[in-house]
Amino acid sequence: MSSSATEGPVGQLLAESFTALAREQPALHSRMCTQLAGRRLEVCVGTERFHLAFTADRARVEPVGPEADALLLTGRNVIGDVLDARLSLTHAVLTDALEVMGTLPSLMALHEGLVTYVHGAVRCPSFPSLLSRLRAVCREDVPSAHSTAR
Amino acid sequence: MRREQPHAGLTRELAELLPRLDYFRRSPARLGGRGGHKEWQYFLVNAGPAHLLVNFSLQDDPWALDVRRAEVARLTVLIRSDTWSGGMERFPDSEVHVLPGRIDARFGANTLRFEQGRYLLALSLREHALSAELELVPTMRPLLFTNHPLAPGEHLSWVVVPRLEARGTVTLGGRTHPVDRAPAYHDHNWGHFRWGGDFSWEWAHALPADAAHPWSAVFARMTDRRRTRVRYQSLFLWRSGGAVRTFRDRDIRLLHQGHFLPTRRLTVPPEMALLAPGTACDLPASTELSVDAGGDTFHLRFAAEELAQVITPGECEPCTVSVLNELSGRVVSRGCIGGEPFEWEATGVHELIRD
Repeated sequence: MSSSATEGPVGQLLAESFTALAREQPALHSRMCTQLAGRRLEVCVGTERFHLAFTADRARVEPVGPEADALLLTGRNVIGDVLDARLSLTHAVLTDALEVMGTLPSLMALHEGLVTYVHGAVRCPSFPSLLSRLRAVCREDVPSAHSTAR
Repeated sequence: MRREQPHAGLTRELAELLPRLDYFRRSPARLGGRGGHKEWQYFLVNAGPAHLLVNFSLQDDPWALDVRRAEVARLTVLIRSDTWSGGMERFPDSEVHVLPGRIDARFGANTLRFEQGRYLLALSLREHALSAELELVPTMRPLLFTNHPLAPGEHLSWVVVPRLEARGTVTLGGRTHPVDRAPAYHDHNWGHFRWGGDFSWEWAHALPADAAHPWSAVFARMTDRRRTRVRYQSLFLWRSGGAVRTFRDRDIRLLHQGHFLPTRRLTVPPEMALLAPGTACDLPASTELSVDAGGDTFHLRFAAEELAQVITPGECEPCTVSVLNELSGRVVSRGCIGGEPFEWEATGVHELIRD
């Protein structure tokens, strides 16, 4: 299961997506939670800040939290560019359009958990509408200089 | 090259025949039958400087909560000018009207109909500046293949209309391009199978620049998933309205050469690039297909130029994808069938499944 949302739209959508993932792809939700169990991530998307916390059976989105073991810093426009394949995730990280800071094991676990999350997301009937809403949120920001096709 | 017009009698024959072969089947699961149904109506139009690929797809979502309402409608429209562009859009039930038993579908503002011997396409993507209004008149007799095995318990049926003549307009990025007597191809596939099952296919078709060119060829090869064993392969040749020659299995020699190294690719849908990143791919730079059987010969060379990848979640394993690679490129072909030599140059699409 997931937890309550934050005040920002990205955190709210993420919380909804964790709930949908747990309901519609419980095996992949469980796998993601196992991969991320014990991890805490602080996320900054533009002016929106929230925390992700994982236990072996639960992914939570929280407005605040204790010190995280990894920090992710990016903009909505970057998320939009990655979703629309205008920018690869790798290029986003290498150019600091998406900054991630943490220990190597934390970052490796985050990447592994992200891949599992996406594999689950593309199999959930609820996700197309969540993705449309996320794209709409991302389009609210002015396109960035990182919008170069990759 | 000899120019020939389709006979009026053939046009009438096809106007009566195609609605009886090419109609939408739709999923038996809607009526409580077997799920896992997949179906798509595919068109390829050689619109001069651009190549247009259109796919109206209805596929049962294997992860749907209600199996009777599992069918999902997707429209893929890709256009290749210098590069591939376009995308895939998914439509909610409320925007989908498809008449089973008819060639009549509406996905949002997009329609496919068959009227008076013509396929009528009206396309307008929401997320891309791409639209088209086309009528396609079949000019060659179709072939029907039913229940071809893909993997144990899984099969695919296929109607092929190898040549049509397209008229209308294609609008890309606000610029409208007329389409007049452009060669086109159409097929319709349906069956029960799972992406990621123990099969892989290669399919190729070439559209000559000149719609009046009398020859048309389609190649299909089915292998196991690892592509270590060819289960069957076929090459079909049509001339001036009718199928004239089929080559199968050991008649056909297929040679992949080199390694295609794309500098870019189009990913459809784009979010799947998160699961299949980068441009590395296991695709040949060129493919040669040769036949020499019963006094007939055929040779085709396809050179890959641009890559679009349609990526779908694997349905057999939880963290896998299946990639349909749409390679566009140049085709040079020559042959001699029944004592009649021919040659053509064309634009072609070579579709290969890879993990």
